[in-house]
Amino acid sequence: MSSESLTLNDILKAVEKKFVHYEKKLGIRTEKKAAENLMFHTNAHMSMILLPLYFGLIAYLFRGNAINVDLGQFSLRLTTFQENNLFTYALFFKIGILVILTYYVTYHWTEIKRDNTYGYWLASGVDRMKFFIYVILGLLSNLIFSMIFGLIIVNSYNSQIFTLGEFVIVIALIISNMIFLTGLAFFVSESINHPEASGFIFALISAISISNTNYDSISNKLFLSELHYNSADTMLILIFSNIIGITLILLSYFLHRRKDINL
Amino acid sequence: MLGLIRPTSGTIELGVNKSEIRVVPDFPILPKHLNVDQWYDTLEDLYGPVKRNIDLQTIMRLNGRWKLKDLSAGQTRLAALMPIFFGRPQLIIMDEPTNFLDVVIRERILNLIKEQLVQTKSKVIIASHRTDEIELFASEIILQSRGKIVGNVSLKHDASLGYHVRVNDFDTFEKVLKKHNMPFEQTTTLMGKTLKINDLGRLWGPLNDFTAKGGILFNLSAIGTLQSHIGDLSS
Repeated sequence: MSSESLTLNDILKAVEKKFVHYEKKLGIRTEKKAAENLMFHTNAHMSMILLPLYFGLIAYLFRGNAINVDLGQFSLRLTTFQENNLFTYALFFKIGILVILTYYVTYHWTEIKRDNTYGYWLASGVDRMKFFIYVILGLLSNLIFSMIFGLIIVNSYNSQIFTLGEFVIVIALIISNMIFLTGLAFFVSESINHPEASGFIFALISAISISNTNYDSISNKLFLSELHYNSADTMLILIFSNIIGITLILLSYFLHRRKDINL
Repeated sequence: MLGLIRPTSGTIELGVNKSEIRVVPDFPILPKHLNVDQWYDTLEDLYGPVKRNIDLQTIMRLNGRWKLKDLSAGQTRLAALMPIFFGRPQLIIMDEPTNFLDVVIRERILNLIKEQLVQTKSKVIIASHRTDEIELFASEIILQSRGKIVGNVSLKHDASLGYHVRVNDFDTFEKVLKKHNMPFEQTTTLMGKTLKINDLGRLWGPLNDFTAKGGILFNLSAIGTLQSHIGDLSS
């Protein structure tokens, strides 16, 4: 009597089949195929999505600063030191995000329209709205999951400096920040039809804003919102970033919808 | 029609779901990182399997391991034509579908497309510079020039508009035709000098005399309605 054993390959195939089933049910199979072929089609592209995580973790692990134990108020110094470690992770993670957004959104997103590859997929039955939403959600979910994953690791490694409440607020601030940056990147991309120019302008705006050390400035609050996790206007920053981000995404979609695409 | 360009005014109602439209553009930008097998799988995934019992890759002579980026112009055109055969398309839009194809494969592919159209009962919009391709797919033809309709040709009742005759010795042949009181007209086609005659029934006598004198008939072809219209437009 022969017995059939379930291999990992069988399980993966079954999971994939289930995914395909739901994608077809939602009517996003074509858009998914288009996104795979237009946006994330090489292994380099796939691994590039994890670039912010690598940036953040490397910056955290190789941070050269050491705590000065000779002076008093050791506990406070330790807390500040650990907090700084976490924000170093967050800052470098964000630099990674900016690199990704500059490449994927402001450069590549404009490039696929210029070289007619997007036009070919649109002619093959891809729905513009579904594709736009799929790419934004795909990009954001990848970034958000890797950010939370990295932050959990760093926070655990760092003696859990944040309480759960603070941790949630920091994550919420970074997510709203990502929504804002993604919205800005798409808006720049849709407004300027030249891939190199839109990539350069977005990188320039981001670099100037992220290097602004004035804690009370608007650009600091928008681009480095996690630093304001325990300030009086945390909620305002959270709401404001989300509103601006979503408005920019909607405006980008409006511009995207009106655009003539060549085949 | 495909939603790529915003209309300046008006709407076009096709009555066809977008997923049932197949497009073969003039310069198809295929996903170059895929190989032929992966492209086949992608199309199957998007539109469903090939409904007919044909092996597309063998007919098109495309090796499954070849990358789309490495294909020649003709092979790329074949890969771009592949979507037509997947699922049940209701509308097929083709722009110069047989560009870059060699004569043998062109004939085979045109037959395949024709069979596919019959089987799926799909409609076709074709832009082509080849009159034989247009005649193969259409029964009614609208000729456009600079956005204006300049001719409406029906191929349903293809009454012959005369015949083109090409021979090796035109001087002798013209003398023979005159001897038989056969009216003719000298014209020039892409093939060079030809004689246009209208009455085919009276041609065989002069032709017999001509060949008896050592003349050779190169070509005898009917002038189609479409060809005649295009001739009128160019003159």
